[in-house]
Formats: sequence, C-alpha cells, structure tokens
Amino acid sequence: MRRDELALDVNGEACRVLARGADTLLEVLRGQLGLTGAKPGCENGDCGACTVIVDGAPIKSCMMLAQEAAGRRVRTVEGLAGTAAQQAFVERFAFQCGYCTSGFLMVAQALCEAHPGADEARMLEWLRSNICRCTGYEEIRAAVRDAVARAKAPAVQGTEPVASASRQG
Amino acid sequence: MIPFDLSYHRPDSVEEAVATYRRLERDGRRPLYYGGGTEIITMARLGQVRTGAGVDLKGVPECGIVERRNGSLLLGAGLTLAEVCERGGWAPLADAAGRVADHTSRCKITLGGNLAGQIPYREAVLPLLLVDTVAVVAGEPGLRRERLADVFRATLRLPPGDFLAQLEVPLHEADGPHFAVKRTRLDWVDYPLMTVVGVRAGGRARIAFSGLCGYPFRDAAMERDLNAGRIQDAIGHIPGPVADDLHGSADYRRHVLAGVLQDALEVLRA
Ligand SMILES: Cc1cc2nc3c(=O)[nH]c(=O)nc-3n(C[C@H](O)[C@H](O)[C@H](O)COP(=O)(O)OP(=O)(O)OC[C@H]3O[C@@H](n4cnc5c(N)ncnc54)[C@H](O)[C@@H]3O)c2cc1C
Ligand code: FES
Repeated sequence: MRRDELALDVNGEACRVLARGADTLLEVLRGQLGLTGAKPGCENGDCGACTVIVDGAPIKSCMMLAQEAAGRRVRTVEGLAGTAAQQAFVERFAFQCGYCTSGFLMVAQALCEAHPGADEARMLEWLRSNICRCTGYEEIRAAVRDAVARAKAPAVQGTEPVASASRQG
Repeated sequence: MIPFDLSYHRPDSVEEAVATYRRLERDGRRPLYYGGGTEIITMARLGQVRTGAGVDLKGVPECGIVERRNGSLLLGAGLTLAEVCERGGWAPLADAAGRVADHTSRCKITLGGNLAGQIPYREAVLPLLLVDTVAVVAGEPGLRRERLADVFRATLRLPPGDFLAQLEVPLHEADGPHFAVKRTRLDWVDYPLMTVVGVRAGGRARIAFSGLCGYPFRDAAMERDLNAGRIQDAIGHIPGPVADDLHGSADYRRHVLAGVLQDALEVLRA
C-alpha cells in the first residue's frame, strides 16, 4: 500500500505524517501523531467521540480523509488545555467513563467560538451530535451552558475570553 | 479502516474536475466525485463502496457559491448543509436540510452529496422539488442548465462523468407560508419515519415527502387531493409501496401521515 507524505497543522504545530490516501484524519491523529484524545467509537458518524475542530467547525474525524485536512487548521482535545470549556467540565463533573468527553468538549469549544452566548436551542442542537453511553447528559449540558455564558462575558482584566484563550501556537 | 487504496484529488475549476475524473476513469480507477465524503468513507469502510479515487468538489469555486440573482437563489452543490442553513436564506430549505443527520455531520455533508447519495432519504431535495429548481450540471463542454425535475427522479440521474455544480431556486414561486416536519421513530437525530415539506404557491399547497417510500417524491395526484382537503384519498395515491421497516410499519406510517397532512394543510391553506 502506498503512503505519501502529508503536511498538517494540528494544534498550531506543523506536522509531517506518512498517510495512505484512504486513511481518515482520526487514524492519522491517533496512529501517527499519538493524539489519542479523539476516540474511535462507531466510526460511522453517529457517536461524535472522534470530533475535532477544523477551521472552526466541529468535524467527526472518522468521516474526513487525512488528505482533506491538508492546508486547514485542525484542533484536538489536546489543544484545549486551560480553556473555559475544560474548566466547566471539571467544575460540573461532566463525565463518567470519559470516553465521549473529548468529543463533547470539542463541540462545546467550537460553539463557544462560533456563537458565544448561544441560546439553549442552539446549544442543544449542537450537543445532539454526540452520544454519552453513561447518559451523563445533565452535567454535560450544565457545563456547556457555563462555558457558553463565559464565552460571552467580556474579558476581565488579565484574562482572555474563551475564544482567544484556546488559540494554539 | 478503508481496506483499499484511494487517491484524493482536489481540482480548483470545473474543467479540471471533469478532466481529472475522465482521466482517472480511463485509467480504470473507478473515480467518484467527492462532496463531504461522509457516505464514501463510511460505506468504503464497510465494503459497500469501492473506488480508487475521490475527486473533491469543494475546491471548485462554482460549487461554493451563495448568491441571489433576479429573485432566484443560486447555491453551490459543495456547500455543507450547515452552510445552507446558516447562509442559504430560504426557510423551507433551511428547515429540511437542518434536520438531516446532526449538526456536526451537517458541517461535512454537502447539498450535492445529500441529493446524489445512495442513502435513500435525500431530505434536502424536498423543498427544491416544490419549485421549478434549475440544476446546473458540469460536464465535458462545461456548465449546462437542466430542470431539477428532469435530472432528479427518485435519485439524481446524471451521465457518468458529470456532476451537480449548483442549484438555482426561483424563490418568487413560493409566495406563502411553508411547512416542514420530520417524524422519527424515537430520537430527534435519526433517519426519517417521514419528512413532509410544503410551500404555498399561487394559492395552492405543494407538498413533497421522504421516508414514506424508498425515495423522495412529489406527486400530482396527491397534491390534487390535498388541495381539495381529501387527506385519505391522498394517502391512497402514494406513488409506491409504503416503507415497512425498523423505523415503522407501513400502517403506522399511513396513520402518522394523516395527522401530519392535517397540520400541513392548516398551515398552507391558512
Ligand atoms: C451520520 C449520518 C447521518 C445521516 N442522516 C441523514 C438524514 O437524517 N437524512 C438524510 O437525508 N440523509 C442522511 N444521511 C445521508 C447523507 O445525507 C448522504 O450519505 C450524503 O450522500 C452525504 O453527503 P456527502 O456530501 O458527504 O456525500 P459523499 O460521501 O461525498 O458522496 C456521496 C455520493 O454522492 C456523489 N456526489 C457527491 N457530490 C456530488 C455532486 N455534486 N454531483 C454528483 N455526485 C455527487 C458521490 O460521488 C457519491 O456517490 C446521513 C449520513 C450520515 C453520515
Ligand atoms: S467514531 Fe466518529 S462519529 Fe463515532
């Protein structure tokens, strides 16, 4: 099987990987870059455990070829350290087994950036993309509600709003 | 993992896309045009699609367009359904496309892919069937215009090597309220038990369906009955066998449909 060199921008770092044309972004992130935060669940677009952010949009990395990601900004949960979304998940204890958590976090982060202060209907619509097999939805919603509200709040001196606090590189 | 080799091509013009496809075809690579790639990737992994090459249309400028021209809306087939909802500016289409899959998947699934895919629901086509939508098709001599009703019959039917580049929607035709309802078996995000989309045009209701039969459709006899208020007669005129599957039995679908049509007529004839 033929592998080609591919240049990717992941969490603000320029990376070079060797990938088959048929490799998904999920496979390359985990297998080549050791970024195991994006989880394989259904690999069918249904569960959302593999969600990453590509050019600002939440994307299920099991449904994107690695080659498609060339020239675009990819962010994984490893790039979300210190964000309000991460903080809100910790404060609200918004995880049980944790397998779905990174996918939910990526959706939360993308929502905070695209629609700071998003209303409840939009938040629920975005969160419907992900499944939590432990059914911890209440805590997850509470955490995302907090994160979205903080994203809207004007920056207090010495801090940054969620959107820019998460910027990588 | 996709168990075969697949090369990825990203042309940046209509001409290059068609030429790339034809070259790959001649080389025996069985290429596919590639919209969001969600169906190609998931089916390829399961061995339900086999292709040696994907020709991505998202770099073709015509496929990314959103433009209003003389009362019509021009939409690129490479727009994602999320873009169609946020930027498309036509409520019946935003409502129908906005219920396909889930939000994250809609950030990848394209308008053209939804119409051209094998998964039979193709919900985004419903509002487009209610007005005289023009399909702008790309082929060897370049772009040509066809009536969507001529190239979309149950499924998108284009000659091999051609692709859907744009859709031109005559917005002025639908001049009244619209109706869009998706019923699922249980969850909000699921394939439809049925999706019903209607508009009022020239004082009459026009209605299209997905999930009822094995393909999306609009039917003249059903519309005649519905405009005369004869819901049961309309149900008797469903143009194919009613789906009878895990989502719901045929009888259950007919029962639910009667209620949905009642609601639709209340809105469209108000
Ligand atoms: C998780 C998930 C949930 C879904 N839920 C729904 C749902 O609720 N309702 C519904 O209607 N559908 C649903 N679908 C089906 C989805 O809309 C189709 O599979 C669609 O084909 C995906 O679009 P795409 O752009 O990713 O297509 P691709 O995977 O890129 O292509 C699919 C097919 O269309 C062809 N094609 C793509 N673009 C063009 C074009 N411009 N011109 C000509 N041919 C083209 C390709 O060659 C290929 O044969 C769902 C799919 C997924 C993955
Ligand atoms: S692993 Fe990608 S959606 Fe489930």
